[in-house]
Amino acid sequence: MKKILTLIVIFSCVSCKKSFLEIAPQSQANAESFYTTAADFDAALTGCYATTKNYFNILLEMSAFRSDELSLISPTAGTQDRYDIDKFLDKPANTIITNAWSTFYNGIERCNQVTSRIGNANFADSLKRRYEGEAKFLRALNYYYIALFWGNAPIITVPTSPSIALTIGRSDVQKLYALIEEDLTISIQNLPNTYTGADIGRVTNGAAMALLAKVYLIQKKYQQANTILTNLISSNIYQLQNTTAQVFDVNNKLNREVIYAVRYNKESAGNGHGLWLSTTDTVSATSISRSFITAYASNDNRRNLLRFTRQGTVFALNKFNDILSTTTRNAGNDFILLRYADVLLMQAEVLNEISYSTNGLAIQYLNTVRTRAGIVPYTATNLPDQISFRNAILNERRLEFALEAQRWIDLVRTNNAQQQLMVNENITIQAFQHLFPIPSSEIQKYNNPTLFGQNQGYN
Amino acid sequence: MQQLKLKKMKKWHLLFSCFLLLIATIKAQTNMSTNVSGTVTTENGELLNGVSVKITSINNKSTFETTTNEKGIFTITTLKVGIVYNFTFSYVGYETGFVKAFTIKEGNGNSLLVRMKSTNSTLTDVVVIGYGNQQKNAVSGAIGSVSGKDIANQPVTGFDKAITGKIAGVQILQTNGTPGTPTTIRVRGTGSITAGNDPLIVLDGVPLDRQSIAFETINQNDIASIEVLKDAAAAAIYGSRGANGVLLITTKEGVAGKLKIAYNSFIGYQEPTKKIALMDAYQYAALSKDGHDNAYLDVTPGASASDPDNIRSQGFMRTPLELYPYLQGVQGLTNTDWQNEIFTNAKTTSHNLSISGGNQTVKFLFSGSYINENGIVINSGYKRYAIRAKVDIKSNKFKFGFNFSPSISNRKRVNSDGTYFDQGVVSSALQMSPTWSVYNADGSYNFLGNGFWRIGTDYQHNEILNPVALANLIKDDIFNINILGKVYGGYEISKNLQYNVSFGGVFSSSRNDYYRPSNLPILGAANFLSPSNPTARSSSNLNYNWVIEQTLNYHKKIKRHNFIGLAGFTTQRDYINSYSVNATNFPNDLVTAVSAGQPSGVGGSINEWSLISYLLRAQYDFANKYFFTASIRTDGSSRFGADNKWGSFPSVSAAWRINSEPFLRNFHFLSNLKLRVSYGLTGNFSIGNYESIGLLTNANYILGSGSGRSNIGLVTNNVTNKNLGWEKNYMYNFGLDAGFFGQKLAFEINYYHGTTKDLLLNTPIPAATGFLTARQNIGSVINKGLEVSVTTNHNIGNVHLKINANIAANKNVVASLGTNNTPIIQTAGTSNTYFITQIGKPIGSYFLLNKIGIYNTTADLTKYPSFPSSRAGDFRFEDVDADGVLDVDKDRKIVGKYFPDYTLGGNISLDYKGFELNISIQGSQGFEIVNLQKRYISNLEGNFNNTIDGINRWRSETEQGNGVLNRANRKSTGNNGRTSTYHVEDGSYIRLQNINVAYNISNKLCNKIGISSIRVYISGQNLVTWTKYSGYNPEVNLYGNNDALTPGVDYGVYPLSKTLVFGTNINF
Repeated sequence: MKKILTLIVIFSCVSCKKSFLEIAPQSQANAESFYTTAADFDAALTGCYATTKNYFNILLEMSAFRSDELSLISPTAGTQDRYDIDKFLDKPANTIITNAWSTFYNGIERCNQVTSRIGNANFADSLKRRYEGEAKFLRALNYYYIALFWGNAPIITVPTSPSIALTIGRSDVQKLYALIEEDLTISIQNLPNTYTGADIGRVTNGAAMALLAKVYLIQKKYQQANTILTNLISSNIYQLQNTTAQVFDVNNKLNREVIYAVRYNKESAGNGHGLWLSTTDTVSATSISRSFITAYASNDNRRNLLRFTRQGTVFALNKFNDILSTTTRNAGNDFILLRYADVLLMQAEVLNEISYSTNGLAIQYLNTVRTRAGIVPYTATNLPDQISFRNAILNERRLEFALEAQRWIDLVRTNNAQQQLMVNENITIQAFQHLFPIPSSEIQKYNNPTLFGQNQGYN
Repeated sequence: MQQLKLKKMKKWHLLFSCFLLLIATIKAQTNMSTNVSGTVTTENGELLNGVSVKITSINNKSTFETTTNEKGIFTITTLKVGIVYNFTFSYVGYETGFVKAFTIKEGNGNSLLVRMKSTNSTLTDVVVIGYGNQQKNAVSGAIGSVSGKDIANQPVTGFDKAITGKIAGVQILQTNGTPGTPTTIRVRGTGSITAGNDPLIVLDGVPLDRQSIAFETINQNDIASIEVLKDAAAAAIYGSRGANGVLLITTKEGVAGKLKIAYNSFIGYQEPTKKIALMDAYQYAALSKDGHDNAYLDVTPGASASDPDNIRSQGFMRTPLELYPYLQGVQGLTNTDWQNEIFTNAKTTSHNLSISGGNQTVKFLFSGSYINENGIVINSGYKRYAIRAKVDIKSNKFKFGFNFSPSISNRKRVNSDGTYFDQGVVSSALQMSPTWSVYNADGSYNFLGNGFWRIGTDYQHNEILNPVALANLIKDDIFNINILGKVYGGYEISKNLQYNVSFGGVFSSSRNDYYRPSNLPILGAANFLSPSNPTARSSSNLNYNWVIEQTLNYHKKIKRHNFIGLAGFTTQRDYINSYSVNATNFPNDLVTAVSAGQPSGVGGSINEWSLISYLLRAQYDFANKYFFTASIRTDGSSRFGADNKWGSFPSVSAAWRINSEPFLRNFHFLSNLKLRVSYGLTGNFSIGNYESIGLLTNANYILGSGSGRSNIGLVTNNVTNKNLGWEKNYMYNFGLDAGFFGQKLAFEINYYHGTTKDLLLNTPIPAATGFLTARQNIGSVINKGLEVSVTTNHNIGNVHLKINANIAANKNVVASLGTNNTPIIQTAGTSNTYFITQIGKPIGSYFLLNKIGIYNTTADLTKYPSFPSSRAGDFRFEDVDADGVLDVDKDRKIVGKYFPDYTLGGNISLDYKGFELNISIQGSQGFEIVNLQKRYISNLEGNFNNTIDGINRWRSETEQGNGVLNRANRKSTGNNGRTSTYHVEDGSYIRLQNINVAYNISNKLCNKIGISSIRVYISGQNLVTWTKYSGYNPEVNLYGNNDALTPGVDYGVYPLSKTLVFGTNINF
C-alpha cells in the first residue's frame, strides 16, 4: 500500500510545474513585449518605410502600363493581368490590382501601429514628434494611392481586429483626402528640413509639403496649393540639376532635386532590385509605346533616357541604368517619387489655373524645365491662353516624368485619359475606368454591397 | 533472507553478462532438473516453426517460455523432477493447444508430441491499441492491422510504402519518387484544412513529432505489426493528436529459445514508371514555325505565312534561324531526347541482419540494416545505415527493458520538382528544345537553351537551363542522424495492478550542404552564357523530443466479468533549433564549403512545444459476448492561446459478439459475427508553435548618407488570437465483422461519420486590417465513408491460397466556413489556377474555366459565346452563367477534386510446397489532377517542346485535327493558356504495386549446409500502372502537402520508379 501511495505522489507531482505549457518564441520577436523603447519605434518606423519598396512594381503596372507610356502587344503566360490593365480589360480578380490594394493597407497598418502606440511610449518628446511625422507622411502616401486608384475606400487609423474591420465600409474619397491633408499637416509641423548622417533619406517637411501640394492640386484647391508651393520654392532647399539624366545618375543619389525617393542599395541583400525595364531585344521586346518616344523633339535630351545601353547580354534603360552588383546581381537605382521639377511644374499649373498670365512666373517655371532639356522655351505666342498653357503643362509633365508614375495620375486628374489613350494608343476607354475595380476577393470577404460595393462599371 | 538476496544478485549479474556476450543459452544451476523436449506439428504432421510454448508449474507458479525451431522441436532444460507442469502452445492461425498436469520424470524420457488445430482465424490475434493490447475479438473500435510478415521483403525504402493498399481507409500516397522521401499518409480522408492531415505515428510507444523519424529509423523487416487507429474512439486515447488517425508501429522483439540469425538482402534495378512521349526535333521545329507564323498572321493584316522573316516587325513573329535546317528535312541534325539524358537505370541494394534470442528472463534482438537506393534521375540517391537493439528483461514482479535505434542517412538531391523557371530538372528536360545538344564539342555543357533565342532577335523562346547540367553541377547533400530510444520499467504491485514507467526520446539532427558552381549560369538571357557567382548554403538543425509516461494497469476477472483499467500521466516536449548560412563570392569552384565564400545571409529559428496529458480508460466485457470501452484524455498544449490551453477528449465504444449467443450456437458455419459501435472526440494540434501570439517579422530599409545602409525594421506579421484552440473531430463508427467456415471467409465492414469542428482556418479577413488572413477556430468539415474488407483463406490440396481485398469510399464535404461562409478561393502554381473551398463541396475543389471544344471555324466564334481575342482554332469555353458573354471570373465552375471516390487494395498470396506467389494491387478511382505541366508541354506555342499528340493540332478550318487541341500560336489568344479543364485530367489508376515470386529451398538441402532455411525471390515493384493520366504519376500532389486548399497539382515532379528485385532471406 505504501508503494502505491508513493507512486501516486510521483504521479501527480510532475505536473507541479505550471510554466511547462507556457513557451514564448525564442528566435522571433513578438508583439507583446514590443513598442516600448525609442529603438522599438525606430524599427517599427523602418518597417513603414519598407512598404515603399513595393511601389515601383505596383506603379509600373497601374500607372506606366495603364497610361500611354508602356504597352504590351500580346500577353504571355505570366503577363495576362498586365495585358488586361494595359488594354483596359481588367477585371476585379486581377491579381496585380488585388496585391496593390493589400500592399497599401499593409503599409497603413504598419504606420497605425506607430501612430497609435507612440503616445504611451517613454522617450524624448522631440523624437516622438518626428517619428509621428514620418509615420503620418507614409500613411498619407498609402492613402494617396488608394484614393487615386480606387476612390472611396475604408479609413483605418488604428490597428483593427478582423471583426471590426468587417463593419467599416468604403468612405467617400473626400474623407480620404481630408485624412491625407490632416496627416501631412502634422508631418509638415513635426519634421525637419534636412537630416544628417544615418538619418539621411527620411521624410522631410519639404516632402510633406510637396505631397500636400499635389493632393491640393488633385482636388483643384489651387489657392492652398499656391501657398504651400510658394513656401517650398522660396525655402531654397531644393534646386534643379543641370540635366534630367543627372537627377537619375546612380552616382548622384539624393541630389538637391530629389525631395523624396524610395531608397535602394544594390550591395545589401534584399535592398536592391532587378534592372528596371531592361530587355534583350531593343527592336521588338521593349514595351515603351512608339507614340511615347516620338513625342520627344529630336533635340530633347530627355529622349535619350528612354534608349537602351548594352550591359552584358541585356540592354538597360538609360533612365534606370546601374551596373549590376557582382554579389547580388541587383541594381540599386532609387525610385524618385517627388522632385523639384515636379514642384516647379505644379506651381506653373497652379498659377495658370488661378489666372492665365502671358509672361508670369508660370511660364518662367515651365521654361526652366524645358530649357534644361535643351529644347526651345515657350513664348506667349505659343501659349496664348489658359487652355493651351494647360495642355503644354500636361505635355511637359509627360516628357519630364517619363516612367515616374505620374502620367496616369495626371491624365485622370486633368480628365484627359480618354482622349490621350485614344490618340496615343488607339484604345477606347470609358469614364468609369479612371478608377480600378475593387478586388473581388475583398468584395467577397465583406459580402455586403451597401457597405462595401464594387466601383461602378465593374459589376 | 541474506541468501535469497545473494541469489538474486547472482541472477542479475548473470543476466547482464548474458546480454553483453549476446549469448542466449543459460544453464541455470538447480538441483534435480532435467530436460523436456517435444515436437509440434500441424494436424497433417507438418513441422511448425516458431510456436510459442509456455510452461507453468502448478505449485509454485514458475513460468518458462520458449519457441519451437524449424524442425518443430522445443526443449526446456531446467524443469524440476517431480513437479507438475501445464503446457500451453500458441501460434498464429492455430487454436491454442494445452497439455495439462504433466509430471516431470527423471532422465531424458520427457517428450511430448503436440498437434495443433488450424483455426485459419485471426480472431485470437492480439492487436496493439495504444497504451495496451487487446485480443482482436474484443475490439470495439475501428482498428486496421498489418502484420510484419506482410510488409517484410518488399523492395522499398520505407515501411509506409510497404503498407500501401493493405488497410481499408488508409491511403498511402507516393506523390514523389525522390529516393528516401516518405509518403503522404491519410486516414479516412482529409479532416483539416490548415492544421495538417498527417496521422500521429507512435513507434514502440513513443509518439513522434514527424513521420520522417519513423521512416529514417525503421527497416520494415524489423516491424512486428502496424496498427492504425481509424475511428475517434480508438484514437481518443491520443487526445489532441488523434484526429488524423494514429499509426502504432511495434517492432519485433527477441523470442526465448535458440539464437536466431536472419539475413535478408536484395538487389534491384529501377527505371522510371513511364516516359512522356514528346516531339522530336523535326516535329518541334515544325510546331515552332507554325506558332511564329500564326502570331504574325494574327496581328498583320494581309500577311502570308510565306513572308520572309526579315519583313516581320517583331521577334516573336520570326522563326529562329537554327530551326530552318530541320524544316528543310536535313538529316542527322542534333535530336536530343532530354528524358533519356536525365533518367538512368538505377541500382538499389539492401542488407539486413538480425540476431535474436533469449530465455525466460531476458530476450533480445539486435539488427543492422543498410539500404542504398540510387535515383532514376541522375546524381540523386539515398543511403541509410541503421541499427537497432531491443532487450526485455522480466524477473518476478519487475520488468525492465530498453530499445535503442540509431540511424544515419545520406541523401543526394537534385532539384527535380517545379517548373523550368524554378530550375526543376524534370520540367526543364520535358520543355527543352530537342535541337540543342547536351554537351558542346569540347565536352562542356551546352547552355544555348538559356537565351540564345532571346538575344539580338527576341524570338520569345523561354530560357531553360540544361537539365543535365542542373542535375550534375549542383551539389545538394543532406546528412541525417536519428537516435530513437526508450527505457521502461514495470512493477507488479499486486496480482491485478501493474505500474509502468517509461522514458522515451528522439534525438535527430540533419545537415544540408548546397553549392551552385560558377559554370552553371543564372537562368535567363541576361546571364546567358556568363559564369555565375557561385552560391552556397549550409543549414543544420538539431531536434530533441522526450516523453515520460507513467501508467497504472488494472485487471480483474470475476467469473465471467472481465475488467481492465488504465490510468496514465504523460509529459512531452519538443525542441528544434535550426540555422542556415548562405555564402557567395567564391574565388573558384574548388572549395565548396560556405567558409570559402563570403557570407551573404544567416537565418535561424528555435521552435518548441510541450504537452501534458492525463488519461483514463476502462474496458469491461461479459462472457466474451458484450464489450464496452470508455476512455478520456485531457491534454494541455503550449501551442494554444493563453485562454484556451486545455482540452478533454472522451470516447465510448461497445461490441456484441452475436455468434456467442445461444440462439446462434447451432449455426456452425458462422465462426464470427460481431457488431461494433463507437463514438469519440479527438483533436488536431498540428499548427505552428506560436500562432496564438502576434509575431514580428523583419522589413528592412536603406537609410543614411552615401549609398546608405540597411536598417532593421520590425513589423507585425499576424493577428494575435488568445482563444486559439484545437480542432475537434467528432466521429462515430458502426462496424460489422463476420466470419464463416472457421474464418475461411471473413468480412469487416465499417461505416463512419466524422465532423471536424473549430477548424483552425486561415480565414480571409479584410485587407484593410493590414493582413489577408487570420488563424481562427471557425468552420467544419465532414468526412464520411464506408470501408469493406474481405479475406479468404483456403487450402486446396497442397496449395494455400489467401486473398484479401479492401475498398474504401470517403466523402469529404465542407459544412461551414468563416464569417458569412464566404468560400475560400486560393491559387497555386499560377495566378489563374483557382481552388475553391465552399460549403457542400470537397476541400480545395478545382475552380476553373470549362473547355468544351474548339472554335473550328470563324463562324463558330459568333455561333457560341467567345472571348474578344478568340480566333478559329482556339478553345471554346462554357458560358457557365449563360449570359452570352465569356468572362474569366464569372464563367469558372467546379471541375474536379483531388479526393478519390474510392480507393482499393488487393492481395493474393499462394503457397505451393516451397513456392510462394504474392501479388499486391492498389488503386484510386474518381479523382482529378491539375496537370499544369501542360501549360508548357501542351501549349502549342512553339516556345517549349511539346507532347507528340501536338501534331494532331488544329491547323485550319479544313484541317481541324483531333478536335481537342488548339491552333499553334506563339502569342496564344482566346485564353487558351489560362488554366481550364484542358489542364484537368482524370487521375484514376490501378497499380500492380508488387508481385513477388519466392522459392523456399528444401530443409534437407539447407541442413546439409548448416542453414535452417533459405528463401529466394524475385519481386517487381510498381511494374504496371493502368491510368489515363498523361503525366508521370497520378498520385502527384505538388503543393497539397503544405496546403490542403490547393491539392493535386502536377507542375513537374520526380517520377516514380519501377523496380525489379532479386532477394534472399537466410535463417541460421
